Order: sequence, then structure tokens, then C-alpha cells
Amino acid sequence: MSGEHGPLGAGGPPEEVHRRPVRAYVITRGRSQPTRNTFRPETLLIATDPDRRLPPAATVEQRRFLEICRGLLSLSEAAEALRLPISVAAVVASDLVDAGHLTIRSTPPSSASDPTLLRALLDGLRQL
Amino acid sequence: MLAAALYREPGWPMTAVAIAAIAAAAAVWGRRLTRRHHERLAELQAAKDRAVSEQDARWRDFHVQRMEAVAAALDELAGPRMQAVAQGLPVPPSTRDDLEPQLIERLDRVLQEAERIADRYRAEHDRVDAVTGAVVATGQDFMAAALRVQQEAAAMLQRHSADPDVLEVGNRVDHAAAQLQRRAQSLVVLAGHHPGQQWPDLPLVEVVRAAQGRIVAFERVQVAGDGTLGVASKAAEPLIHLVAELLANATQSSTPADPVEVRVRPLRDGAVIEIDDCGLGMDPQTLERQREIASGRTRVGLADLGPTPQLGLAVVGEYARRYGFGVELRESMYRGIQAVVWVPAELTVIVDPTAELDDLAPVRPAAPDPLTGPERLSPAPRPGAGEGADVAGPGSARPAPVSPDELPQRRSRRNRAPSGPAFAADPAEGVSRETPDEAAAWAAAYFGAADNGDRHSLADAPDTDDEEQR
Repeated sequence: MSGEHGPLGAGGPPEEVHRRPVRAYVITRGRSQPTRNTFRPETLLIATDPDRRLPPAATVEQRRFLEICRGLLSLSEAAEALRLPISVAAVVASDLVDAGHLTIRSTPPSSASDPTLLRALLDGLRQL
Repeated sequence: MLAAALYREPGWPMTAVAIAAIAAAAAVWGRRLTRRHHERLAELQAAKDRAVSEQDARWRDFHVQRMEAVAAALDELAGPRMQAVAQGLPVPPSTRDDLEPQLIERLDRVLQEAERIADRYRAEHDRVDAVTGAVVATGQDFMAAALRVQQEAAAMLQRHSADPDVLEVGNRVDHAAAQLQRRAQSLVVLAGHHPGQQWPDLPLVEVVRAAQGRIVAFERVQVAGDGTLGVASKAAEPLIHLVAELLANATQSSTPADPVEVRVRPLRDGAVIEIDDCGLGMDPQTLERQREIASGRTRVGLADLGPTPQLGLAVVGEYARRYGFGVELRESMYRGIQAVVWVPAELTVIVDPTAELDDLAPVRPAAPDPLTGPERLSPAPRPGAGEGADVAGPGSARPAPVSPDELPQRRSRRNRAPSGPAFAADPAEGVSRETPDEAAAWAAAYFGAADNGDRHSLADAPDTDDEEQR
């Protein structure tokens, strides 16, 4: 195609990205924010009831999401498996949580937020 | 007196005898003389007749000969010499040497005039070719640019994967690029070229969602239907683009608050995608004109578009003709217009709706090889041409076997005619007049019946003037 060499298509080869027929904004139905602000990449998710069926109108992404969340999975892991940006996966997950298909497991105590550990780390750094 | 005088002479009897004898002899001689004279006259007449007829024959021969010579010169003119004009080659002089120079000169003058017309035509043709080529090249440039913008947006999303604000901006950029891409692709397709993008076998529901991403009011589209029904790779992009144009029409012809409902259904001989808008519909004449264009029966090329081009339905019709999709517009049970797209069995495949999304990666990048150029499809296969054995490409699954309990009942087309009384019902009760299953049955009956020949005979309908979309 001429555009590859023309002024409009000029530039280096674009970054290798996964290309899908369905655009991200169709997957999220135009939203960029999940319905709740509790979603972080490390948020753990699990299917509420593996036997509970999604409605017929459910999307491919919702079905796939529930399928891989039969076991406990973090949002970032799920996004990686679905090859979706985490922000898009968060919107899909929030819909599933709202519909009762997906459950948020309390995030395990993050080592980064443990004051004792942080203090120990700080002490260690000071001694360097 | 003489007899009286003789009578008075002595010896008159002798004299009378002599006279009588002389008279008799004279009579005999006279008669012979007359006969000979007549014979002579006859001879002269015959000679004259012979001469005349010989001259006639000579004239006839001369004329025949002349006519043959002129006919041969005209054959030569219409044959090799005119062919040379048509091909733009030097025109050979006449090989006839049995014609008057004036005639030869006049024939040459005819050829010169033909050459002038041919040159003008060639110049016009070259100009149209050049314009078409420029439109295609520009369209492909814009498609490549749009693709690149989309790739950059996707790369940005990937780099800032968890950031909703980046997703917000990325989505807007992606969406705008998708509009540009669709419009540019419409021009390329109407100029007779391949749409460019390639996908693997796709579920029809995903085809609709892909199409959804290419229109402005994508949020209003709601899709439902059988997730295992798919379209073969070779027809995936054409079907996405076709559905996108119908969705664009549907959203534009209804109010922003109205949803556009899309259903995917199996048929015994393929599948249908039904698109319902809740708009105001259109008057019967407009509907009829648009049906002719959308079905591909009336071809609208680049040259027919006019100063404010409405590409949508022209593109739909173009794809319908090329790939054998059946497209019908009718009054919707939701009061607006229903577009029904029939995907023939040859282009239908069974897919796993929860297949790895990796499998949805494109087979090839969108850019066709600049050396070989974009694939130019054979012009305008008629609807139903997709039924040929060559259409099901390698790798495409067998035509979708549909679970028997879902088979819609075929109905008489007469009872289900789109303009029939069933659809001219009071709008207040229009919604409840027909269940979705009945609608599917109608589609089955319509396309099934049409497939038996009706659509083929309609394929050659004459072109009409520029059409406006609703």
C-alpha cells in the first residue's frame, strides 16, 4: 500500500501490539472507569459460583473472564491472560462483580504497606 | 370508269384478263413484300432487344462488381482499419485499388473522425482511471494512517495499562480513527478494490461488535444471538464493513435515545443478522430505492455519488454483489427499518465462542503488497454467486449445521412480503405484531424463496440515478 511510504503513514514500524476486531471502547461500552474504585492491578478476583451461568447476552470477554477466574487471580493476571489492558479488564470485572458473578477477595496484606517492614527497610537503607 | 372504257373497246376480254392477271400478280408480290418487311422489322426488334438486355446485363454486372468493391472496402473499414483506430495504432491504408479516389477519400475521412472520437474517449477513460487510481491510493493512505493511529493508541494503552485516564483518551483517539478508517475504506471498496484488512474466522456476534466500533453512536447498539455461528475468514472484513454501514444508517435514522437491536440467527442455508432501528422509517418510494441499492441490484459507483457522497448503502450493495450476501430492508417491527443480512451457508462456519482471544489476531496486516497491488475482485458476481464450490476457501469449516430444534419454519413469501399488510399495521400495535421468531422465519422464507431464482432475476435491474441515503 502506498500509505506505507506516503507522508501519512510515515514513521518507523509501529510498536507491536495485539490487534483485535472488537475495539476496547466497545468492550467497555464507552466507559473508562470501573463501576467501583476498588480495582487495582493486584486486586484478587474469583468466580462467585462456577456453576452459575452468565445470561445469553454476556460478551466473549465476560465469559472468558469468568472462566479464568475459576481459581483466584489478580486483575493484572486476568488482564494478561485476556490480552486486555488492565484498565479495560477492570471495567469488565466491575460489571461481573456488580452482577454477582465475580467476587473480590480481600487483597492480602501488602508487604509494601506493612509499617514494621517499611521501618526495617528504612533502617537498612540508612545503614548503607 | 376504267372498266367502262375497256368495255367499250373491241377485244376487251383479253385486256381484262391481262389486267386481272397483272393485278393478281401485283397482289401476290405485294403480300410477299409486306411479309418480308415484317420479318425484317422483327429481326431489327430482336437485335435491339438483345442489345438492350446485354447492356442491362453489363450494367448489372458493373453494379454488382461496384457493390462488392464498396462492400469489401467497408468490411476493411469496419474490420482491421477500425480496429487499429480502437487500439490507437496507425491506421493501414485501404488495400482496394478498384475504387474511385473520391470514395477512398470519403472512407478515410470517416476513419479520421473515428480516430478523433476514439482519442477523446481514451483521454476521458484515462482521466477516469487516473481519478479512480488517485481515490484508491488516497483512501489506502488514509486507511494506513488510521491503522497507525489505532496502533499507537493501543501501544499507549499497553504502556499505561492500569490508567483509566489513558484509557479514556486512547478510546477517543481509537474511535475517531475508526471513523476515518471506515470512510476511507468505503471509497477504496467503491473503486472496486479489496477492503484490505484480514481476519480469521469470526463469530457473527463479534462481527457485529467489530462493526459497532466503527460507527459514531456505538453505545446504542445491542447485540444478541448464537455465539457459535461464524463467518469464514475471507468474508469477515467485508461483512464487518457492511454491517457497520447498516448500523451507521440505523443510528442516524433514529433518535439518540433509541437502541439499535441486532440479532444473529441460524438459518438452514446460512445465517442472518437482523438490525432494527426504532426510527421513523421512510416512505415507500425511498425504501424501494434504498432496497435496490443495498441489495446490490442497483449499482452505485464512485462516479454516481455526486457532490455530497452518501457511501453507506452503495458500499453495502457492492459487498452484497461481490460476496453473495443477501441484504434486504423492510419496515421493522419496532416501527423503524429492519435491515436483514443473509450470510450464505458457504460463508458460514461454526466457531468456538470462548476461543482464545489470541485466535482473533489478524492473519495478515492490513497493508496489501505495493508491488502486486490490492486484490481486484472479479466485478459484480451476482447475488447467490457465492454458492459456487470455489467460495468455501481452504480452512473454512463446513457450512454451519444448525441444531434441528432451532430450525425456523419456512413460510410463504406471499404471506410475508415486506410491504404486505402485516407490516402496514397501526404503529401503536406494531411492536407486538411479530415475535422475533416470526421475524427469523420470515427471513428464512424470504431468502430461501429468493434463492430459488427470484433474486437472480432481479440482479440485472437497470441502474438508476444518484441515490440519497436516508
